[in-house]
Amino acid sequence: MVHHTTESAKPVDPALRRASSPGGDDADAGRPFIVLEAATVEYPGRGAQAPTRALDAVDLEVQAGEFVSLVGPSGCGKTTLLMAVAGLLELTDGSVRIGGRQVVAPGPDRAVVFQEFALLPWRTVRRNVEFAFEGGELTRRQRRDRADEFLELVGLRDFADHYPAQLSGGMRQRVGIARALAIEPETLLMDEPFGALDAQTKVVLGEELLRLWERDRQTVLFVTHDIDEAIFLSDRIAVMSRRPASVRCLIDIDLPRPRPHDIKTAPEFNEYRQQIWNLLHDEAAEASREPN
Amino acid sequence: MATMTSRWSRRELPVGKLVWTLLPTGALLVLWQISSSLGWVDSFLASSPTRVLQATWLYATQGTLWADLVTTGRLLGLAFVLSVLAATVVGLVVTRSAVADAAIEPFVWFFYNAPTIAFIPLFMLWFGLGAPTALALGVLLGFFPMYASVVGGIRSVEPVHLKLAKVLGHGELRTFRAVLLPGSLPHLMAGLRLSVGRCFVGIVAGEIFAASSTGLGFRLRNHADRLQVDASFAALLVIALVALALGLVLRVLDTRCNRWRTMQ
Amino acid sequence: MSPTEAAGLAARDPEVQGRPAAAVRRRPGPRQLTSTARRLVGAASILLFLVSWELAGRLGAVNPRTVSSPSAVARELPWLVTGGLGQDYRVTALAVAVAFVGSLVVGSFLGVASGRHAPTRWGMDPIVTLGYTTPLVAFVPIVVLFLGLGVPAKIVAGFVGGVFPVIVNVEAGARTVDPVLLRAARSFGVTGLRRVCTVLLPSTAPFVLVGARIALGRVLIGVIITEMIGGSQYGVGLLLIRLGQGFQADRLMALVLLVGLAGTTVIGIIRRLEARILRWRP
Repeated sequence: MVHHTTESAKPVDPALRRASSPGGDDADAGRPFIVLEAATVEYPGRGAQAPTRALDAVDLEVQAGEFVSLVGPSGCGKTTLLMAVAGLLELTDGSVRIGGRQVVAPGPDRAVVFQEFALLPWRTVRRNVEFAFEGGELTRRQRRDRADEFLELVGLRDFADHYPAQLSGGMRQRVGIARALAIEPETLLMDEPFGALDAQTKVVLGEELLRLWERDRQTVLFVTHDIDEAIFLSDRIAVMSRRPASVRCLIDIDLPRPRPHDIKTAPEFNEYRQQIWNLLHDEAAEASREPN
Repeated sequence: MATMTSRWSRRELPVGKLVWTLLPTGALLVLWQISSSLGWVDSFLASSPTRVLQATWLYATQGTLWADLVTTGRLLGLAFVLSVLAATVVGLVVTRSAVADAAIEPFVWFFYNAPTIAFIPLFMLWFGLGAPTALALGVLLGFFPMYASVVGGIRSVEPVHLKLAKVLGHGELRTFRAVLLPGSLPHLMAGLRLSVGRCFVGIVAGEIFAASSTGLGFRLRNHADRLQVDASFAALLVIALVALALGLVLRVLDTRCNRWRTMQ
Repeated sequence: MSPTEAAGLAARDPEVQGRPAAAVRRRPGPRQLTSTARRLVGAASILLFLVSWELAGRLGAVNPRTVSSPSAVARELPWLVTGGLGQDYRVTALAVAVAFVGSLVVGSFLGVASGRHAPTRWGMDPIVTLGYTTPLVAFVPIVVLFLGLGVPAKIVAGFVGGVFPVIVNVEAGARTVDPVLLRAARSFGVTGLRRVCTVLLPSTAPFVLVGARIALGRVLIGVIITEMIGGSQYGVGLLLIRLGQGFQADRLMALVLLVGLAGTTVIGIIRRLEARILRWRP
């Protein structure tokens, strides 16, 4: 199921675009889990100004357990799409459904990881993870243990009593990831999670993310403008157009899993990179010629 | 697209905002007036907006408003000038010498946070009734904010700017005018605004306790002691307006100075 | 060395700060003192002040009757404890505490409301501006006029003094809550009262502290002034006035010293709390 929603992508070797279904099993495989249909987000204009469209009739289907990256020029609306799926933003038109049910509000089935980490500075690392599931019926001891369990997963168990201000950027984002995983969501929504980190930390965290993902195989929507990162992490990449955003092209990434980190030098990797870069280049060039 | 936006911003007068701003206060005033006219509260004790306005009018036309303003104003001016001068001198000395800084620190720390109002009886003992007490209080209160901002302002000047001036061979005075003054100006302006406000508080406080015959503070105390509610409110109103006016003047000065600063 | 050089280079130049003494002396600008040296100089300066004050009294340069002297004040220090002033301290302290807590609670509530809701802010603006800019002293005679010469007047005057700085500062804090944090809270289903308690309130804590610090000073002033104006039965302000009228300079000085130190200490505690909380900020 590959969609071409707008005009020409550069001709691509069909061998690179074999339909692939992610490692999931029988009943779920091949069935769309997250479905966006004509999803539109429009902000009303002030006075006589025309309204602004952030999302323009986006169609997208993501299968359960799939890792899909959204790649596109800056400001094109990838974050808006993510927020709509998260239930943090209302669609002006169209619909977004998860598992057949329409998304109207945030829920425990979806967790968001933010670019700015969004940790509460006055809480310890442990208490920050606890923040994700505080409203429930767990005792204090149980909450503590659960938070520690997920901190262990990201390797930060020893820093549980530290404050965010004492941690590096990479560590803070690990806490963010631990927090998201702690509610055991079916879907992970990640908004340029490594965008604020340096190149090396990015790579390390990317690999860790894959390792964590392999455990439960959540459905992941991953927004980034880093092409290499997208190719390395994903099963499929949705290349977005410039604003108003729509899905320009969907590319299956047919690389073996688990992905060794030297896969970045493989020729297939390079071809994907070329392909996406060309697509983005056109969009970015046009975007830079438009007034803001 | 750009022109359409600006046209609409002008059209979109903050009328809504204006209404919201005036409504609660207006409603309270109306309520006050009504409750007084209808006798819900003892109108003698509670007064009413109209009566306050009448009293203010009388104060201004037949009363001593102008004399009081002059008295208080003169004291304020003097206290302000003295405290600013003193603060500037001490501030310059302190930023120049680390020893002076350490020597002065305990005193500053004490007076900055202490309730300086407790000094009123002391000053009354020393200076007696009348202007000197009010003046002393005004200077005491106005000194510290100005001092803090002089020191803060001088220290906030980028050292690299000073080095630049030195490298370019500028003399003392020129460096002062071109680098030090504009650089510390924001702090200085904030200090002036705080200082004049505090000076005014000191003067009014001094007049309330120790003035013998004239001045805004004295007038307020006088009327209140005689249970003349309307006149008391009138005096309070005048004091409030003067305080607001001072703040406004300083803000305009601040903007002007900023403009000067950006032209240096 | 010119004051201009000294001023700039002394405090801000990062190369000067933190360097060993030898390196520091080489550069132009005043020597930086270590903190022990600062404390020594400070203590010496206080000593110098006390000695000259004492001498001025003895040598007749000033009238020791009105100006007192360190030795006389020292003699009266025990009186502060033993002179039966307990009731006065209690009354003032209680009034301050009540007014302070009251202004914190009401001020925080109003501050959060006006911080998050623009029309509320606009509506409160004239009242808050008027209340904050007008000298607190000026309100007191009117408060006494309405409420008489007792404890209620003190508390109200203190409240009027403290509520406005709290409103202004809490409002500023409520306006600057990190929107990403709010979004994250919403994404994890944290809304309503839980969100106020776990995100909004802690986020504004530094601002609340600043407001509280300023408010405490003003509450103290409000209460003491009310006591000084009215013939209240007990109270520190009343004591001060009576001592002054009775020309008891020594005891007056001692009490002023006590009040000054008390105020400075409490405010110092709040400042230290502020510094602690600032540690969270990245």
